[in-house]
Amino acid sequence: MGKANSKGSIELEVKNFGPIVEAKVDLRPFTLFVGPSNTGKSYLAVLIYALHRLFGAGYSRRLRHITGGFGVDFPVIFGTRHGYRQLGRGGKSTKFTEENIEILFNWIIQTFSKGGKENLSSKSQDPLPEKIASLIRPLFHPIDGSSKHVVGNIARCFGIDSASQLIRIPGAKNAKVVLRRHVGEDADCKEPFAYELHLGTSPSFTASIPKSNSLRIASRFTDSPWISPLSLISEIRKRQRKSERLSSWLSMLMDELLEIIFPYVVGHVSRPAHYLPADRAGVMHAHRTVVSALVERATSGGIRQEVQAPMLSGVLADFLERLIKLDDLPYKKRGYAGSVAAEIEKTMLRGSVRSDASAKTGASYPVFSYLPSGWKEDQNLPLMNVSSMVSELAPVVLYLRHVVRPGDVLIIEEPEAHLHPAMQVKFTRQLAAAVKAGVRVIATTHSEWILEELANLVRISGLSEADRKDISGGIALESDKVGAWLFQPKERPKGSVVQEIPLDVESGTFAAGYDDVAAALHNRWADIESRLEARRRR
Amino acid sequence: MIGLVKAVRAKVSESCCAKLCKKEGCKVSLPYKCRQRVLIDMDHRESPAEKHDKRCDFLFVGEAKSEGWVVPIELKKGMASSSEVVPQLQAGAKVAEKVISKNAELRFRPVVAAGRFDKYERGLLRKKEVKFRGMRELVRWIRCGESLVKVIC
Repeated sequence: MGKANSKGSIELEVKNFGPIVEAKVDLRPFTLFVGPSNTGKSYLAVLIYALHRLFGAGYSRRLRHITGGFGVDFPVIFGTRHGYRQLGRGGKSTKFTEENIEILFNWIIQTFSKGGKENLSSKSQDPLPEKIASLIRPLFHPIDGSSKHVVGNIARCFGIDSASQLIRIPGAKNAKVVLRRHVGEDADCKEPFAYELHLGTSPSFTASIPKSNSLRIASRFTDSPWISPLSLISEIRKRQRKSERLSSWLSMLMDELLEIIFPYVVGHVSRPAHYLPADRAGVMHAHRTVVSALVERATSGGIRQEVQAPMLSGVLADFLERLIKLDDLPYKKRGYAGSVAAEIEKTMLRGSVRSDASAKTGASYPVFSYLPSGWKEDQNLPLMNVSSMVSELAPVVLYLRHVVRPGDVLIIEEPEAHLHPAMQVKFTRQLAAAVKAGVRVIATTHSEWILEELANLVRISGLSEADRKDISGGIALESDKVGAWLFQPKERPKGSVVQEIPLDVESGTFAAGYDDVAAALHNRWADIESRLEARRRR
Repeated sequence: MIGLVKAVRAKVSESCCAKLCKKEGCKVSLPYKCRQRVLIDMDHRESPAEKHDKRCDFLFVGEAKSEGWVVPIELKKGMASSSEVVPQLQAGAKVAEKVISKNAELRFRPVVAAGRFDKYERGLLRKKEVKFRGMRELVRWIRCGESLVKVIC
């Protein structure tokens, strides 16, 4: 198992989950899952996606327009939907007396009301006062009975009906998923924050929020003081002026506190994840047909025939939904990772990817097309009529241009699909550029080329800025930003285990077992030659 | 090929016969089917290899199902280069010609156990043959830790 306790790292541990017997994976800015087919690479990737959905903060009305509604499961798990007065979570509880509520309100006002990045940043460096932390800690414990909801949501992402289908290891009755956030080496944060999910005979979902750990405002809020809860403060003041009971605003207060501090507890897992499934090119081609069929079925009421509707996995359904709503995204034009998208268009596609839901197309959802460089504006080609490489990269470009923001996680299955090795190398570089722009990337791959280029990018980081300038456009990834994890089949119990593969400097790549294939191919060639030689000698 | 191993043993010093095919962090298991076998450590001072000549690491001679096998073996823990390995195996084949009687009918397999060949070296490995008594064989490649069974018997 790889070491996974560096400052701020997120460690995901699973046991008997799907085809995986055991895995302990450190989720780094660029994480690769490699190994033979059917060993659980995509399974773990989907689980990570599901966890992002579950832990996605930004569930409140205030942030929903930014996150696209991400984190809708959060209120159910943490009980914000039901109010906070009767909190009793896994044996933890907080009594919200008027006095306690006032303490919390005052802390929010003191911390945020003066506003300004400098003020917030300096205050957030310090741990929360223990009086405040002790009131807040119980909020991070899932409410009793939330395991059912958690498991249901994970099952949804996999497109399965029952949680029992998530346990596939022969003889295993239970599965375990643990998410640990190692906050740091600070003296006040020795133990990790952890969420543990047990599936099987007695499902449970529990949290470990050590009292020895301090709580802080998450750095993403200190980096973006415009997110500070000014509206809440103005509401508090208004209510104070009217002498209203503060407890009537408890839910809103708790929402704010969770939103500000929860990302500190679970790190980047609180950010949205975006999943690009392996069959993304097919979905790009077929999305209009699929959506039309669904709309038709939904509106045909009593006249429809009894037809079993095909079930989509959650990742595929979410991907489809994102495509349909692409033109509705409020941050469509912001282009956070747009420079990477533009670079892919320029250096790989040699043209631009368009989405258009205008009246001209007659569609209420976008029509995707491709305009080769130098062609006239009205000469767009439908994606159906372009090369498979363009279809493959079009959703990546659209996501990077419109959907993915720095800090978000882009999960991409088999980025090598439909790409010539030279393009695989270029694409790896662009994914690394996205990582440099703050996007976290998780990819499953069978590509030796991707691993080799990634090895190059890590080695380049050993050069000075000046020396690396003319290599790969200067893109480099430090070794601690990259993690390659090998999924290997295991005989007993039948399943797979996951281990980190370090960069082998001598061979210049991450040893992912492809040499076994190369050796077998070579030996077949040698055997054939040997037989031909014997025939010549006869 | 009954008697092959016995004949080879008679020609080499007992002290250069090894039990394990292992050198510098790379190990190869010997085929259990070859019950009659001899493994000559070519680096041993009493080995039949000429002192200052190139040499491979081991020369394996074995019998299985009335077939005789002659296998020069080169072990490379990490990255290997065909331009280095092939001459070493060729030197091993030359030693084999010396210690094996001319009339013996047998099968010849030069083997390299290596962590890795890069793509260019793999291409070269497909072209460079090792000669043994007029037979020309391409080098077989196994990984360190694997068994010779993968390529012989």
